[in-house]
Amino acid sequence: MNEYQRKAVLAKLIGEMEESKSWCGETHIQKTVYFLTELFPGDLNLEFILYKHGPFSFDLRDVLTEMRADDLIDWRVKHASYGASCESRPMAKELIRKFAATVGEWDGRLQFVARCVSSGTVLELERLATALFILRKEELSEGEVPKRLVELKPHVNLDDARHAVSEVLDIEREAAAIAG
Amino acid sequence: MAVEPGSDASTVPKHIHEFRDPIHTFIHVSSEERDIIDSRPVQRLRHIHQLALTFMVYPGATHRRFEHSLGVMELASRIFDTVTDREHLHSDAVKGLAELTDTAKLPYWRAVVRLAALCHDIGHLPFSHAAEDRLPKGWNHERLSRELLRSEELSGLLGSITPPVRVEDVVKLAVGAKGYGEPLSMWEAILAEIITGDALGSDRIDYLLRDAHHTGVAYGRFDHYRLIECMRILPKPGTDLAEFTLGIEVGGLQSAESLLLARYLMYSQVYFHAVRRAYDCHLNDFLERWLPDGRFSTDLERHLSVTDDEILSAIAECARNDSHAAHVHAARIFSRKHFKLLRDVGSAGKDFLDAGENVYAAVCERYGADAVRRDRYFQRESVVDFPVLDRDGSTVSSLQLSSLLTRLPTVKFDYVFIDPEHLDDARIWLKAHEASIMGQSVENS
Repeated sequence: MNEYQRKAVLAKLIGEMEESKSWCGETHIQKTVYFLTELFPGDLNLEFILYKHGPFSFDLRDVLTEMRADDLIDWRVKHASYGASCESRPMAKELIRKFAATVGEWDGRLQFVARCVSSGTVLELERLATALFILRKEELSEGEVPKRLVELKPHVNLDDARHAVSEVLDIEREAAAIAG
Repeated sequence: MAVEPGSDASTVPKHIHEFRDPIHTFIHVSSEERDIIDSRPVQRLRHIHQLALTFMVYPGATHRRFEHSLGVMELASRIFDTVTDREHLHSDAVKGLAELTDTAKLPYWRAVVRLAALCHDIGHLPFSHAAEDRLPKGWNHERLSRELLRSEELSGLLGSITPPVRVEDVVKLAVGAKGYGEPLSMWEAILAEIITGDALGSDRIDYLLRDAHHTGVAYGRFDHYRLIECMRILPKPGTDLAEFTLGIEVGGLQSAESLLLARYLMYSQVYFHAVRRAYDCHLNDFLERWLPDGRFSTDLERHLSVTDDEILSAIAECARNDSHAAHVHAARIFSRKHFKLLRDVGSAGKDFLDAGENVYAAVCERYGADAVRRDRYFQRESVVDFPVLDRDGSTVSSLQLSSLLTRLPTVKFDYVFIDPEHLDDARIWLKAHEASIMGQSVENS
């Protein structure tokens, strides 16, 4: 996958997130792409670390900056009390059309993560993405994960942590069925 | 203060020392900080140009990372003092960040911020970013900085400070969350932002001011006094989480706009100057042939012993020795026979976003790969969305209040350079064939 194929995939994902009524802030994009890279390993080549509010990729931030430079996306404040949201620019459709074959391969996966993940609140996405990060990166039993989540995110209570882990496991099962 | 036996009362040892600086006038350091400044990793920065071979284009740009590091230390502590001043604390930040009101520990964190700022560039290779591709896979200058800070030499000095400074605290703030690779606490992440933050970090403030001063490019100047005076730790608007970040009081918004505009203009005029980038290509070609296996060593002793001085000396030597494998590339630099810009495909228009590879391949096919180079780059770290404390006490996005920031472009370029011998012919040929070359599909390339 070359860099513009990758940008086409991400542009399509942002379009799917808009369709799913996601707020499309940077956090929403970060967490949704994190789920995409973990559930459907491919060659997006984005490294994630645990940052202020869960998994975060500085590589992805750079790619989003490039996409803005390419006029594929822009940031716009939709509401005075909220942060900026990402919106697709007309050029994004052109790029997606140009790389229709690549985007077509990713379509089902993109729709899945946009539907399952992207419309959550920032707080929900932090819980879910951090739970997935622990499940994938730390050698803990499923039962130990909620406690670890609370350790990492003390503002999350144990019940919410348990619920987040359970939800992530459901998403993983559904994703496995799609990946076939 | 105790006077050592035999010493004269008029020669009482100094505990605060000062450097003259063209940007900040005076930079004051303590004796303990001076010990770190005197260490080999920091002194080495006296021999690393801040802007690589930019001095071949802007002759005044001979400044080094050493004075930049001192400047970042000075600015970082000014920012720290402003944002931790009790008069400047946002009520949500007081509730969410216990460290802000822990007055016993604030001096410790101030010391850590200053030392991390001082050491944030020690891992840089000769010619800074221009040569970073010549490190083995998995290495970058942040990793070298981490290793150097943890080395016996620096960790020993940090540990001998009163009270001792935890090396890992300095490492975290010096390289930031991205360079550290492991989670930072909210407090650590904010302190790291003071140094390396995308929008308002002291690293950026200093390099813009300093680079503008030395290149003579006035676009890089802005009112950093007002900017720093207005900095605050603020909740990020629009999140349902207690996320805090470096922001600004509304009165400083214009100075923040001015900084970000300066950054845009400096990228356009200096950092992405086509001739400077052509020299970077020649430097990389030279290093590929001059370095063992074409790679810089990651051995710390070796790293400390190689600076721009050794490389420039080798370039001069190889330029005079036509039997050396790197002769051609050294001579291009030494004799200023650099490649010329044939086409900036990055400015080719929206229909040709991915055309750079096609143009490069076509020109290579016609003139030979040795006569053509491609260099492309997008401006990184272009975050312009930061919290602004409005007059009514609410916190809003900078993009809500500033129409300038919403319109500020991100700089990118995609240069194809060619041997000057072919330039005239290549221009005519490319003009005749450009549309068909650029229009080719590269799907599955």
